[in-house]
Amino acid sequence: MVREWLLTYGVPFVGSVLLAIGIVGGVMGGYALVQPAIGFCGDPQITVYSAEDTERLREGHTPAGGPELDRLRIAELSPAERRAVRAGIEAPGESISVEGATPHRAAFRRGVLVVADGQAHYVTLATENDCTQVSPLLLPLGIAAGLLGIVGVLTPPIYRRYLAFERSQHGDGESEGG
Amino acid sequence: MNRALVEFGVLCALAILVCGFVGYARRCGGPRADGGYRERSLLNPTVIREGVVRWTTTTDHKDIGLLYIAFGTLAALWGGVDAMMLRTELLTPAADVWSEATYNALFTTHGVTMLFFFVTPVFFGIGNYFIPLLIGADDMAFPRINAIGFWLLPPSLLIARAGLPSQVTAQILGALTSGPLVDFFGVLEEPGIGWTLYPPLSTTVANPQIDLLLLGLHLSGIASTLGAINFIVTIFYERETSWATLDIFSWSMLTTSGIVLFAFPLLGSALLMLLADRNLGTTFYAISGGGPILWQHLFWFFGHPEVYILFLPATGLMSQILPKFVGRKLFGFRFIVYSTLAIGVLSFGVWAHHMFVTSMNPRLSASFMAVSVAIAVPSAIKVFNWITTIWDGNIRLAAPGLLCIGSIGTFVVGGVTGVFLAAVPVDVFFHGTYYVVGHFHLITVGIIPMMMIAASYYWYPLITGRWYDRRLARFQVGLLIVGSVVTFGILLVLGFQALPRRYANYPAEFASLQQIATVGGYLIGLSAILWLYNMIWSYWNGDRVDDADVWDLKATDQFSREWQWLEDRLDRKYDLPPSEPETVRPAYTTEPEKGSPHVLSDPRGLVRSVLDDTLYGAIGGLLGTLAMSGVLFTGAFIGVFDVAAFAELGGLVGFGDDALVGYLTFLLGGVTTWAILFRAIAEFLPGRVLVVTGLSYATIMSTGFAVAFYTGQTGLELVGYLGFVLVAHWLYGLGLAGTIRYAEYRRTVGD
Ligand code: HEM
Ligand SMILES: [Cu+2]
Repeated sequence: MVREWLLTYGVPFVGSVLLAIGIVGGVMGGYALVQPAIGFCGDPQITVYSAEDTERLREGHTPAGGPELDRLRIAELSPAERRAVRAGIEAPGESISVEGATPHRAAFRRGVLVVADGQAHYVTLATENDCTQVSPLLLPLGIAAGLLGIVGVLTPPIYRRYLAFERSQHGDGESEGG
Repeated sequence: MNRALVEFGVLCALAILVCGFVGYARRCGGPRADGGYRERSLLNPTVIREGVVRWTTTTDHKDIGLLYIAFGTLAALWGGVDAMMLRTELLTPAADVWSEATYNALFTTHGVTMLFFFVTPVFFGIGNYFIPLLIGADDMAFPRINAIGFWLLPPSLLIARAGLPSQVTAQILGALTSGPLVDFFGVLEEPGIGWTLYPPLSTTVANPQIDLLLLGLHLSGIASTLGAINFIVTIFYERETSWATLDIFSWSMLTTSGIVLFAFPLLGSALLMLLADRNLGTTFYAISGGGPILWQHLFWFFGHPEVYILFLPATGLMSQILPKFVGRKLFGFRFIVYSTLAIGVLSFGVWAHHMFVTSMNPRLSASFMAVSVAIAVPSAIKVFNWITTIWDGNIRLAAPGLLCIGSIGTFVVGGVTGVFLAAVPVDVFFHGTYYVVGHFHLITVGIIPMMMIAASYYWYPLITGRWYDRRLARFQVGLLIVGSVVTFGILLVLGFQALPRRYANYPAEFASLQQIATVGGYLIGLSAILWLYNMIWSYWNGDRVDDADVWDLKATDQFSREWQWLEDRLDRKYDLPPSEPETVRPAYTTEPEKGSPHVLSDPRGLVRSVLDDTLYGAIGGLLGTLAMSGVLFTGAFIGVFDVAAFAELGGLVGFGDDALVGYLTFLLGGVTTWAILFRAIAEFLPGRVLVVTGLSYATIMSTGFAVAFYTGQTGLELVGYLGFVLVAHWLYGLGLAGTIRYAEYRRTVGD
């Protein structure tokens, strides 16, 4: 009776947990592997506000009421940053990848006013776009746990088949219900 | 960016799997010895045409109910994929799986899909199917409005979630060409503004998909209102029973419909004003006009009743189903009805408890706090009545019964944590933390889907004329309950530590809790798939029902109207008299008392020829050890097992530190010593089936091995090492016992 419960509910339950853990390991490990390869991480993304929005945001906040923002001239930016800011001015509010060196990352993270063509634009980091960092063991262990989990989940039917086999071996002539 | 393709890919894979599985299940359910017939192929054009015509033009309440349920299930899968992706993001502290923007979009679409397109449609579906049966009506009062109410939903879902297909189209087109068409599709993105759509965010973000989302929500509101009107009129005018004998589920659907009738038009108006703000330059929610707080008032005046629109039908199902599985009538029926009605009224009076942190006048918030605490009373009445119903009952742990009991448990935790939130000082602290997410998921997962699933099992024989796989169902239920408790319990804990919600990034010290919550979330996902599997498979392959009293309800005098309807139908259709044979026994069973006496054979019977036994033991040992080596070498390849450990073994037996010699020694030991030991003590090990004995034996042995071959692994490596050692030993045990068993089989057959 206990074994019946164990095999019908206990083992598949452990199997399901393993499967879930396996999915975690497999997804994270696998994704960490392919993510840089297919270019899904690395370049940080910035958001540039339009000059009007920047004005509106700053209204009533400077110099006393809000954070003091640094100013950068667009000429000070690295070429990649400059390209990204230019693209951002064209498409305010969208996330733009900075494809290249980003020496002003810290300033972007804090939020900064970039002056281009005489107008200030508020620029912030939209996402750092880090690459997933996980132990290289995670993928193989995840796959192993997943496979083991599948075996666990499939235990009840396998066990029932096995019992049918045992019974047929004893040849007691009962039909092998199915 | 990449998210659209991932989600679309997962959804397509799910769809293909389900379709393939439907075909497979149909085929397996083919010709039967009992004179059943093979159904025509699904791909046959006539079948397709007939099917399409039937399901798109039907006005039968049962068909529409099924359509609603199917639609809601689809939406749940879609929203569920969102949830799984959310939890995947939270596996690592940094937002490095999806970007922050994607995370925002995910919790928005997840919330919207689950609340508007999953719960309400499924409950309306259950109501459509069963309320006419329960109250003795022929159909709903307005069958055609009923159909319209349903058919508004698919377009509203598509509009509300057009961002995903649109992004996918843009990316596929973009890979081929570029141009205005690509830009056109690229513009629509899933919005990331939260399901509460608070301005100023929702008015300032440019994404036009937000407008479509507002329109889609509005359309779904219209659909719900149509459905609600239909329920109300049906229950008032088509009822054969008296009010006094109206069943509890109909009562709760009636109340729910009343709430819908007052709440959704309000949402519609608020949405239209938001649309106007976005597109026509009005200032309803701008600082210069009504202000963003106006939106919050309007939204939550709808939003809190909405919570009860989701929740009341679940309590109705609980009150309907629970008594059938404890063999006692519902305790305090009247009070449950009163509490339902009370909730219906009170739910409109507490909206501002969602706004305690918006610097309301303290006196105002104090009164909202009082009403909010008061609304817990009717819910508590329900819980006490359910518990009293169970008390001293004859509890039957079938899947629906298990679900009822499990979800009372989760609901109590979810409800009590809600009472705390109703207290202003507590809310000020917990507002915007995971505590809130934990609280409402214990309800939105802990009772709503659980009662839906309970209903699906409970009425499955009635709808399909077949049984679902009951073991699998019980297992699925257990998985669901454990998964919910783990996932959302941990969210409560995270909330106690004041981790804010709706952030893709979080401090690293929360990582392990978040990871456990994710594993729990995946368990819920697995259990959902098992449920779907069971429903589809059993539809064509379940045991047939040959008696309407599938739950032995007559024995406790609870054979309610819908089952009588089934009995009549079985009688009319198949001439099946309402009876049952004295006893039935399943075709095979593993219980010792029942079934064939040889099911559990005795290993002692094995011992026939010592020579044979030793020989087969050795072969088994060899097979087992080889299988074990395979696993160990895989482990070595991955880096969790050190082959050098064999060298030590070689040194131990005096052949020098050579790994190969060590391995051969190991092989020899596996073939002789351990195999013979197994033959000797197999009788005394747990498990009367030899294979199970072998597994137990190997498990015990593996501890010794793990100690002996340990080479200083830590952390993940250690986990991997132990796991691989265990699995390797299980293979050894299986190989050993399996060979011996097979040998005995050969001998018996050869006799
Ligand atoms: C498979 C089970 C589920 C899981 C793993 C899950 C997970 C999540 C997660 C991780 C969030 C985001 C929390 C945050 O960052 O604030 C969330 C939010 C939410 N979920 Fe679920 N959920 C599940 C089922 C449901 C169901 C069944 C419903 C409703 C019937 C629901 C309704 C919501 C709502 C309304 C939100 C809030 C969205 C927002 O913050 O705007 N969830 N869920
Ligand atoms: Cu509320």
